[in-house]
Amino acid sequence: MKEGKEYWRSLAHRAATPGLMERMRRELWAPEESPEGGGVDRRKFLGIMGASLALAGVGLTGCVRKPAEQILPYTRRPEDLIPGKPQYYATAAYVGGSVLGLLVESHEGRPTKIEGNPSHPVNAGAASAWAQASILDLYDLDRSASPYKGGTIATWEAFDAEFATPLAALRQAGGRGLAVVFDGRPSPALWGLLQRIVAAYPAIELYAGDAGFLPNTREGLSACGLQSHNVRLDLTKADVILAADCDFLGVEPNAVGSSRQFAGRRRMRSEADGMNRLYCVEPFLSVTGMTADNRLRLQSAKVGAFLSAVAAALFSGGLPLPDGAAEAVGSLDALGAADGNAVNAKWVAAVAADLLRNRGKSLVLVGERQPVWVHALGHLINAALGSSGNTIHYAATGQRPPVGPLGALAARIQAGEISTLMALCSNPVYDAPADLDFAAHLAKVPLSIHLGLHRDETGRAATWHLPACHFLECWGDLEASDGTLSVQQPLIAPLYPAVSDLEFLGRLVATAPVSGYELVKDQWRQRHQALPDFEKQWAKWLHDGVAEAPKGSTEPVAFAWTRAVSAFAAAAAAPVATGTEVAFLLSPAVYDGRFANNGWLQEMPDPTTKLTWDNAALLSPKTAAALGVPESTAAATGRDRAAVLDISLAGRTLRIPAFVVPGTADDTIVIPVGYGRQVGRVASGAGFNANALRTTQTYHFGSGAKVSVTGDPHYELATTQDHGSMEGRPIVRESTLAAYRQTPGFVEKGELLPPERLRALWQPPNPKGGNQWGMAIDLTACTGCGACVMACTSENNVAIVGKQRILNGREMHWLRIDRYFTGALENPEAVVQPVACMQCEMAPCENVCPVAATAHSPEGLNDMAYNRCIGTRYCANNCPYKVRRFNYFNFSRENDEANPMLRMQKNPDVTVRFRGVMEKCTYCVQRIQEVKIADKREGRTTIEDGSIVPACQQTCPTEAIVFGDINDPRSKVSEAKRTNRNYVLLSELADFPRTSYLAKLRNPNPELV
Amino acid sequence: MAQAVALDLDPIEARPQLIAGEQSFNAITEAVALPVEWKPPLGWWIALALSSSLLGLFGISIAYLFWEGTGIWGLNNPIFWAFDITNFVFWVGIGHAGTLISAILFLFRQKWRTSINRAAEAMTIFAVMCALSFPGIHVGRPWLPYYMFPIPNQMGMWPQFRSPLIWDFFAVSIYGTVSLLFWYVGLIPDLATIRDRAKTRVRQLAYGFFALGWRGSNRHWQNYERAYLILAGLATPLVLSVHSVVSFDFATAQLPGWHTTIFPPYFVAGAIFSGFAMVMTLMLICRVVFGLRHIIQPLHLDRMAKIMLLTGTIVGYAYGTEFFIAWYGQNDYELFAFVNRATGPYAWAYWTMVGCNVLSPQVFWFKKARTCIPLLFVISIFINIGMWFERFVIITTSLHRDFLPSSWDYFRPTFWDLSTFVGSFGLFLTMFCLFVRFLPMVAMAEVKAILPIANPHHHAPAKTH
Repeated sequence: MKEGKEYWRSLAHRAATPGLMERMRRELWAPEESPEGGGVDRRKFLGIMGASLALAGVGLTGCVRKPAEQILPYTRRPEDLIPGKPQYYATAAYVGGSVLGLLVESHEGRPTKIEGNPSHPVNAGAASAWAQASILDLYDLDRSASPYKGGTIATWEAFDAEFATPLAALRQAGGRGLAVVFDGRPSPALWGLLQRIVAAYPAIELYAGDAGFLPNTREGLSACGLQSHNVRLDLTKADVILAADCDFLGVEPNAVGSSRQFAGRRRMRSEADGMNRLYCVEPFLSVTGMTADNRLRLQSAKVGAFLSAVAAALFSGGLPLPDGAAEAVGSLDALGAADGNAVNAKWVAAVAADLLRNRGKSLVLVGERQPVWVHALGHLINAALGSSGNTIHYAATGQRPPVGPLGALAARIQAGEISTLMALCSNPVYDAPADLDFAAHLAKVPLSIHLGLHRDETGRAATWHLPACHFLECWGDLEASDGTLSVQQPLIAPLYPAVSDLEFLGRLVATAPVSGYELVKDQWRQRHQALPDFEKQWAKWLHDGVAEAPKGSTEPVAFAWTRAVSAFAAAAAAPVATGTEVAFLLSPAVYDGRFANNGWLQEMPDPTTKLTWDNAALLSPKTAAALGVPESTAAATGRDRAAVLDISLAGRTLRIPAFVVPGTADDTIVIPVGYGRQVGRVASGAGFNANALRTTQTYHFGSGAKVSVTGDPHYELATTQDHGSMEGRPIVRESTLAAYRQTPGFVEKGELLPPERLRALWQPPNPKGGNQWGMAIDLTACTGCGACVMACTSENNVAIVGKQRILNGREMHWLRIDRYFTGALENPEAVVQPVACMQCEMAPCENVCPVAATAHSPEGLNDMAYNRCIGTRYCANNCPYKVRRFNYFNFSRENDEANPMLRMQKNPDVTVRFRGVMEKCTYCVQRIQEVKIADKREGRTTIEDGSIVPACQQTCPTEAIVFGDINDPRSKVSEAKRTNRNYVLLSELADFPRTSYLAKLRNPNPELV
Repeated sequence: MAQAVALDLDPIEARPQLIAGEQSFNAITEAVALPVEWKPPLGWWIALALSSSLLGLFGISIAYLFWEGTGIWGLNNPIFWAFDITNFVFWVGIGHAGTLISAILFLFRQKWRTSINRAAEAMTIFAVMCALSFPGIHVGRPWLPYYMFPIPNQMGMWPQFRSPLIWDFFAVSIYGTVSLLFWYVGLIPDLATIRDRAKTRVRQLAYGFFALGWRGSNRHWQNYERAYLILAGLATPLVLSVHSVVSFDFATAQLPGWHTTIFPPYFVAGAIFSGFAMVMTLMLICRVVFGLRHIIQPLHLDRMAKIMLLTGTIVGYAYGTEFFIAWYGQNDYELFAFVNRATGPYAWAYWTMVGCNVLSPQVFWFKKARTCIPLLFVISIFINIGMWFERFVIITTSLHRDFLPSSWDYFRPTFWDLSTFVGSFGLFLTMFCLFVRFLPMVAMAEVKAILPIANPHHHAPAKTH
């Protein structure tokens, strides 16, 4: 595409000679066919290095790599830019179905780190693991770098020329035959533009192709008479929450905001504080399920019946039904009495009683995976309990053009009604229901255009593929879950000739290519015509990242239950699902597959399974035994040699390794989606495509599956934690709220050695003077989501090691989240514990290093001098927490060789570690120094509490991590450490760690204990 | 001079003779100098070829290690040391017998030591060379171990003297130096003998150079004996200290299974045990190959077997004590570490160790077993294996499951782990092949000194009293 003045390298380039363009592409971009990536591959590199070493005849000095570095100084320094000092820009992004206000760090024009925007009311500085890792997508080497026509490289000019005629014809026909598949994100500019497009092309058809669009949730609302409403949760007011197959702290939209609100009700300063209660009913131990106070394992298909039974108990227990819903009782009674629920009678009664006791302060959440009628039932219960207006709000979205499901689109294509299909930032060939056979349908459309970050499955199948911008490269705007509006401003010009979907759609209603900036700004100007100083306000909005406060939405809504009631009746009449269930989950790592080419997320251990680089068929120990799946060898041999299963569901089959996860519902196979993708070097070979089993009917789960163990050789699954039991050791200390109130000092009972008997060999240090850094991690708040792990990876230049090296036990994460199962094998609870370097006062690592490469700082940090480290690894052997990570190979260089773009992301304030040195968490010492230097320069003598925020604390959605000066009795961390739940891990070793934990509390219903 | 004496008893001391066969100084010289002066037989060339092939493998393994990084081994996150330090401790242990035989048995006037001390000392030197190579190559950045040397440098940095690795570095290098000196001092009279017998100019010059102008004068002998005694006195505490210090690498760490006060004596006993096993293995081969049966007699083997029985039993006692203390101390982590050793994923290694080290030497309670050459050979090999496994068990099984179960893992060696280990035998055996070819493998002067004829006497053989 052309933008502004056109520059050309030669006359041939100007004329866009096809042959030349191809040669240029080869020159500039690595051919996708090469397995090792472009430029010099490792083998060749070794050869060259070997030869040059031999030629130069150098001795040992040749081992020290001193790369030539070019410095490009600014001849005229841009305003506000001081080389070496990062700049921060506020923006917003739609990541994993959530709108997050972001603050992005930029070094000399290259974005390096994504953080939540502290001014944003929803995420308040926190960001999800996906948002943290999405910076890597910007520098993805496999991003599409040019348009493709069929299988060959083309140019935007060629596309423009070719598209002009069909576009004119479409305009003539009023858009008849034009279908657009898009993500349907809550962007006023996008929807405003769509309004204009619909005006110009009245017959245009819009379809949603994004996991975050939530068709079931929307349909559920619409069944209650709320056709154009969004749900806004207020968990701060919820005392009792029932999550019905709803991973609202994990993969459901707005998990960051929900986590913040949810954890806000669990901040226990003392036993006098109260906390909310979370019931979770789900087929698989999700992040929400691990956090839940009471959890019930249940097949997805039975969740609706369970909720019906709860509703029936509520309504028969005297709770009046909302007006117009009286007829629902019969169906709900019938549904609730369905077989299988009898075993849960105790649960039903307890939950119903608890909800009833907390009318107006309770909330029922239904996950997107559940069918429409269960959503409607959730709203019915909430309405009856008076939650509406208290814990749940319904906000009108305004009129929007209708958006259909992909199934309808397939039917239209089948009927030959679609002549032009645009798939914008969506990938229907990969994630549309398998029964639609979308690839075959796409082939029938005369002109199909795919706009995407990658030339993915849809991009390859479409007649045209066009490169799309990353969200840090383009303009847009977004409405957060509470209605807050933000402008999405870019930080960098597109790295490739790419456009945003907004800009692309803009072409439909403009004659010349439009700029996203103008599109967004014009919309905002129109909306704020009354503002006298729009430009000034615009600048402020961009600066703050938050533009408009949420509009009032608390006015009561008018439900219409007729459709809901008939949906219940239909559900009651439908046959009960029986047999083995296959349930599909969004992956906490790669979401619906869009992050499959993101090495950080592939390597982020799944919060529950701790699997990396793969998905698997997850099943309970009992199911595994019934199927004859051999027991896992992981605990004994460190490697899981998984048996391979054949799963057949409704005539479709999938071959996938089995992985036993306690806490999974019996007779259920759970498969995370988003793997088995053909999109780039990172994604290739990672996992299995579960979408092959998902049909329109079984998109989220389906029953009656046939599962058999194949004779295939075992498949190795890479987990970062082979052993899930605490072996009776007081590692994660846990109590219930009731027991805590009786025994406030329960953590001390966990000590193996009573504190009075604990004697250090030397005089224990008594840190006084200056700043003494410490950290407290509240295990009651931590959900194990993994955002901190990604933040640490991004901030500290942690290398990706790949599946084989995870198998070899060489993961490099400075911060890991340990997950232990407690209780019965079949129905366990799970606890999580973030573990990074504890910065021990009497660090066992320090006195064993023969070269003093790891030493104590006056501020209590256990510093690593990478230059001094020779790599004896003795420190790591002597570290009882095993938080030290060793560079067994030159991981950083391998990363850079595999993707030269990765260098752009590196944080220049953190040393990139080379082969043979030990590394570990530093409490983000670079951030400490930055604040100290700034304070010193500005003449402040004391560092304000909270001004230094390590990356993990900064992003934690539940604010579980507190860092600060333990020498300051008023600091938050000192306050946290004074609570009676405070304990240190392995205190009996007398290492006096600076990081302590606040013991985990659950608030289970005593009736269910 | 060549007066016939009874074959079984020493005429003066009335105890079995230490050297059988013809009792003349010349006969000893001829027997010992033969392998140094002959044209080596094909067997020697084959042995050298095999050994140096292994040495080549060692070189290749190290070169690849330096090129790629320690990741070529099977190490992982909890198990940061495995074969590398196992091999180090194994070789240091092997290096114990030489100096023990030379120094401690010398001070205790154990004359039977003279038949085996030279070879044992040589073995010590070579074993220490093998041992020292491992700390040097196992580090992540092998071009920088000089950071561990206390040399003035522009960084103004000293090594960290609190680290047991620094103690280790000093202990092993001092031990190596003293052992080398001791060995060399002992060699001087024999080198002079070879020089005097040399038939070519090159040999004359080479042996002459190293013989340091030895003429065998009374004064030379007096100085020599004095120096030897002083070095024996210096070396004796080192025998005990070096493996004690090596054991501090583990004992001062806080890892369950390492953090044990029993380690110094236990390691020293184990080292002597393994050293004697290795001497036994090599001597059994040499006495046959080089026709030294009359110098290295069943009597010597019998005494070595007794020492092996003693030290093996001490080691077995230490294994038991570890378990007892783990139980008695009621430290959950320690108890787990030991139970895990015996019953966990590495139980196979643990029971290999127990079988080889504790059970197999028990046959030495029987004199028949102590003098049965094939059995001695087999048991000595068992002990070598068992003692390697002992270090592997201590290092790997303690590391693989420590405090937090979340980080537990399993170590499995790669090809390069094995090649480096096997390759280190290449270094050892190549050095030994060159030693038996170019240096007298029995201390001629010392053996001559314990012959009955070396003691001027006018008695008839004791038997006749």
